[in-house]
Amino acid sequence: MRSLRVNRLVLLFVALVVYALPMVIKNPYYLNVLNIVALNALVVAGLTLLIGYTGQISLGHGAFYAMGAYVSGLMAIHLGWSPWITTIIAMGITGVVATIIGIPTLRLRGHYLVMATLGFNLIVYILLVQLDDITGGPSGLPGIPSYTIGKMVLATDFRCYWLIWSVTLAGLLLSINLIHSRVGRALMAIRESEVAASCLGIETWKYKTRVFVLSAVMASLAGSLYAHYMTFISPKTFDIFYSIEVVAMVIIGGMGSLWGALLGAAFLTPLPYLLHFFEEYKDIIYGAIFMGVLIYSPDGLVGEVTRFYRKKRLESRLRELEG
Amino acid sequence: MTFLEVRNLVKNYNGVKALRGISFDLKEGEILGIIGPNGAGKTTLVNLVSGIDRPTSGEIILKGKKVEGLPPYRMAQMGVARTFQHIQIFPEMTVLENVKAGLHTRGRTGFIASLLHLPSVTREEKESTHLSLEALALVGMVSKRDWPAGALPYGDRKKVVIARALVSQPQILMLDEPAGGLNEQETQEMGELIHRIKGMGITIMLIEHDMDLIMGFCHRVLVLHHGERIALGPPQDVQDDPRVIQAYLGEGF
Amino acid sequence: MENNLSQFFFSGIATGAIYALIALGFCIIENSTKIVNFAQGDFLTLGGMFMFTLLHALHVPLILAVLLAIGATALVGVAMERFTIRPARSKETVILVFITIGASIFIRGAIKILWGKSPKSLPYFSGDNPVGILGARILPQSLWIVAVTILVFLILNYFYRNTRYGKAMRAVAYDRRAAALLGINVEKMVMLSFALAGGMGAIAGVLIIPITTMTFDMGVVLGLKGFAAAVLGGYGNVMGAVVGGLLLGVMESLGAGLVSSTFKDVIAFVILLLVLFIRPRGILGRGEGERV
Repeated sequence: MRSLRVNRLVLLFVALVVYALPMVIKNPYYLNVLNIVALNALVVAGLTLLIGYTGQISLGHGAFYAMGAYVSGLMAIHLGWSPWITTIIAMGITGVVATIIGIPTLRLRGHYLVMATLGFNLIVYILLVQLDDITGGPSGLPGIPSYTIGKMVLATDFRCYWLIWSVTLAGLLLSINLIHSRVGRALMAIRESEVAASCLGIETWKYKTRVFVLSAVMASLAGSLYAHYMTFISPKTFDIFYSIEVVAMVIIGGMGSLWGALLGAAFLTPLPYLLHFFEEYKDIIYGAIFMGVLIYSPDGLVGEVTRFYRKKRLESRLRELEG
Repeated sequence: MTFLEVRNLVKNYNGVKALRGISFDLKEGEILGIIGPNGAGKTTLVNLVSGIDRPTSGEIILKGKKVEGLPPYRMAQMGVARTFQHIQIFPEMTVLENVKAGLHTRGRTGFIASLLHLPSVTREEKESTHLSLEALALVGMVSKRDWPAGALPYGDRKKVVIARALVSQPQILMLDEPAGGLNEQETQEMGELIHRIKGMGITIMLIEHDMDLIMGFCHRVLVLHHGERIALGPPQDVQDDPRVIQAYLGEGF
Repeated sequence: MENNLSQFFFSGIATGAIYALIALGFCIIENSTKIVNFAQGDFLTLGGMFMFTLLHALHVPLILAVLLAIGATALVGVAMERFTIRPARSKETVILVFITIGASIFIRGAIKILWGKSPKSLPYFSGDNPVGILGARILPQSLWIVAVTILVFLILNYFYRNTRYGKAMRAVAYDRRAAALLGINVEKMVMLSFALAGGMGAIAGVLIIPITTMTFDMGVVLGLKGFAAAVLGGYGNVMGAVVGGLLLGVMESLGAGLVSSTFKDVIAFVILLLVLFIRPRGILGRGEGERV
């Protein structure tokens, strides 16, 4: 219970920083990057529940991100429905698909699970490219309507910043709630020992499927937000590299922590933008940083932060003792 | 009253006969010791009763219901709890979290309630913490409640795992070598712990190599050898049974 | 129609042999470290690119060029192990696998810098007159590919079953610490496996550069296909890699020929998923549950 309170306080602090930032940062380009950070953080938070807490890997969440974007975008364009409604419908449809995919897939382990989820992502990606009558194919789907609140159209980076970050912070709050509960303990127990967990009465397949669906629905929500924020989507955003990137954020942030999700997204999302200056060398620099963090800091950024914090605390204790 | 009945239980692993038709029964509140040389089929028997493995043939009847082949979580929901020879603690969870996970079958909070942190969740959490601390008190581990379980010494882990199995107040508790790997003093502590559990009136199946524990606690002892039952009866009778002596001598005991 | 069928089948076998070769590279790393090496596809590109430079710019004779390309790529494999896998502070599978993804991005970036973005091509080893087999017309290069795959399979099979190094490597994968206690030089075995995997990738690259022009990012798709083949057959199983590769190639080819060429990958991956749902450890994989 104590750590639930601590985590909520940290979230409050994060929220204050997030809502204060636009007063300092006015450049729409930076706001755009921050918005993408938030969208990725939402996907990564869901994946942290699946990978970090339940121990099940997925390299296919780009597909669910795509479903959120395309289902909601297409419905809003062709049916003229409010993007709020289509976002929720997309979450529902993604949830159903994730259940159908999840039940047989989550029986697989290790490399087999990696392949199956990758394969699912590849299938969805090819369909997005090839079914161009519906999806617009490789050249993308333009003209997706923005969200509106009353008469206000959420069309600028600044307006969308409030919406997207609020949704992401809410997603983080719900995830924090989840891990500090009976369900959260069941998920962790599955990660630590599936056999022991099931002998405690935990229906492992049910919990694995549900957390998979939850993470897919979170990715779908992020995808819909992306579509109605950017108003243009193309398959490239949703390929397996996206799936790999978000899992890398989970790992680089620190696998067992939701704050790691936020840090991982905040670290890895802007990296390609920053490396743009290096032109043709940007790929090898990106690859080198990617490897370097994993080689030298396997506990992730959260691990580094806690280590730093512990060291400081120890130092101040020592000073107290000396003084 | 017969609580658990095992009839003609057979288990083959890829042609290897691990159990060759075991039958016995267990009365409510009884403590049944299970002994036998390594490879006799003791853990296989526990795996079958706890639902981890399906029997090749035979029946397991729990309170009049046929339960063989049910998954482990169903068995746990019906009040069958166990510990493992290789402990299977949740190393990255705290001691308290480990024990609270043992309360899974008694809790009701689902995904939606957890996500929204409804008031019922807070209530249930308080209750779980309370019950878990009681169980930790029973095994003498309250002071280490916030330790990561993986950092505990071996003997302490065995205690936590027993608390985890006990906290849900199971109807049957199967202990797979609780004293295995413990030193003399720890074994004695384990004996005292089993004594306290016995006082709670829980039906127990106790697999052990430590004969003092078996002789001291069990109402009856089942002796397995090469997957067959070679004796079943009060400890004293079993100890004097020539077939049992032969089995152990043959293995160099 | 019958001729078509035979044509689809045999061209599927030829593609499948390449997948098998790549899958064998995955297999080698699995059999020493239990990780998936996502840079395997980029080893292939590297091998092809080395070959291109040796033949085209340096005019080295064919056989020598092949051997040098294999050797150079094997060295890249060794370097990868030495500078990324070995110093890794965590030996956890997920982290090591993602390090190989980083390595893959790095190698691809390096190839782009060194060889540029334009596609590279080379002439066939032995002419381009198709050979007729059972009504199908096959390129001689495809026969080379199939023959080399069979040869590599036989050698690897022998290596794992009958040589000290092969057995030691598998022991390392099975239990690192126990292998070290048995006096096996674990680091050397892992390094050797990366050299082998690099060489294996180069063999595939050298063989296909005449058929498909080589681009810097070719390794992504082919690496995925090889991984899929290895999983399909049963991950880490040498025989499974070959069976999985051939099956994937034939499925794709038949799917493209009989159903739709735009959806050939969809067909192949859907079948792969269905196979996994029925056999969670691949076609030849043995079921091993979690031990208690």
